[in-house]
Amino acid sequence: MSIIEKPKSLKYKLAISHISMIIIPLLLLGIGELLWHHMINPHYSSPEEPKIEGNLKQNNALVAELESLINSNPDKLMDVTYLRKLNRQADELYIIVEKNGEFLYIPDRIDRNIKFSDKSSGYIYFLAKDKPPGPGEALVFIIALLFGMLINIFISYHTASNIITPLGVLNRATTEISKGNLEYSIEPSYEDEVGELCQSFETMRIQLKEAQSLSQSYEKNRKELIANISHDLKTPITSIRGYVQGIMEGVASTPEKESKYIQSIYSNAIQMDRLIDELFLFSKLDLNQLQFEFEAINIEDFLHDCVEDKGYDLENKGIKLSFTSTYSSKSLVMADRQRLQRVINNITANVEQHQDPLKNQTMLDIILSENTDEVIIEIKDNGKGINNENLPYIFDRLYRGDPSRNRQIKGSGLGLSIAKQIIEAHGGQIWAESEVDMGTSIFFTLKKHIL
Amino acid sequence: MKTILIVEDELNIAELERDYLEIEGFAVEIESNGDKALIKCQNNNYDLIVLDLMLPGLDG
Repeated sequence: MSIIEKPKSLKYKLAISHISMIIIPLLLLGIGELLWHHMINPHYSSPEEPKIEGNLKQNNALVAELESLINSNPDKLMDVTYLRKLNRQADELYIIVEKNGEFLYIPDRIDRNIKFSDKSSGYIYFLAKDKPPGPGEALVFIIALLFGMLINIFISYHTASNIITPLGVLNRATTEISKGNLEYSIEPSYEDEVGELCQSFETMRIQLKEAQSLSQSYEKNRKELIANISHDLKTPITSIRGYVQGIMEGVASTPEKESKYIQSIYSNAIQMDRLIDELFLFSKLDLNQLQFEFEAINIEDFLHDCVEDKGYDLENKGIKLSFTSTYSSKSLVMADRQRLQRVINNITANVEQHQDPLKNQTMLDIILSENTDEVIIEIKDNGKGINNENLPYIFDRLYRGDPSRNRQIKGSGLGLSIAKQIIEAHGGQIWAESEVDMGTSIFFTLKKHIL
Repeated sequence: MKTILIVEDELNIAELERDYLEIEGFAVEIESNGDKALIKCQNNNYDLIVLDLMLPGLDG
């Protein structure tokens, strides 16, 4: 982009201003010189003529005063103080008065006293000839001018590179970003205000990049979730179709078989229903659209009821459920009963799925304890346990531990994730501790309702 | 009578498949473990193997 093509550009403006800074003073000099020679000092036409005439013209008033004194009061011209004053006032002119061959007042600048061999003394007067600027002066002038120009060019260039170049870089970077390329980074080589702008720009770019990658990972999660859910719904529905078709076509040839098929259809339907519920709940939780109805509940009674309700069911599945409580303060707890129930359900469902077949009896203990402002609930099992690598991830959505066991796990992978969101909405925390082959404990806290 | 081996870890589905095939007059065996299925194949002569790909351990 040459300067000529872009008349509005900074480069153009800078170039113009710097050239003007050289040309305008030159022009003014030229004009001034012309004015001087033709208007103020017209007699000065030949270089060889002394400029005394010019000087007299310059000191018009002074000369007039002196000439009138000559006529009216010549003795005043003997006053040295007056003569001194005159010389000071005179512009490039020395005024010397001689009386009877003697000089009454000689300004300091005039030299020199002479003593002749016959003992008489005198003075040499040096009267300056006005010399026009010769080639020497011209050369000095030109060199100074060139120097000025060089400095000017240097300053222009420096300003340009400090402002215009970074602007160009920023412009290029912005274009790249608007094309979607967030990798184009600016090298932080400037230290002034421009440098600060570059730094801010870099920060902005990095934020954008992080936001973009966050949104990409959300998108990926969402797609995975949908794929998993589709798969998880497909399996039971395929079974249901198979069984129904089996009944219709008479494949269920005995009443026992028919009963078995019907039972399977029923449990598959329940599983699908639960999955759909979880998914719905999960989507609402994710968007923070879920309404909670908090009330102050008696947590001990609540857990006790829980254990009673679930106990029978779990016993049928071979799980022994127990409840231990060390809750001396008996404070009430702020909770949404329904959601809290779901948390407990989800955690126990998890236990059901990860039982350790090597153990005689799967045990599930619910333990209630407290600290100053929270209650702590521990749900402890003697299942297979979770190893340390996986432990931090179990509350993530869709996490299912060993991926090759995917199909066998009936849950959606959302259970613990939903539990976490609910507990956190209660203002509590949830975490897990585990030892492989020994068992797992999931802890969560709820706030006490302190009046 | 032709014999079919079903290699499937999900028992409900395997049994459903067996019911369908037995009605059609086939003899059906079910094996839910990949390694054991391989051994069974070496020892027996099956006319057809219905093989599930996603199995724990040795997969399809």
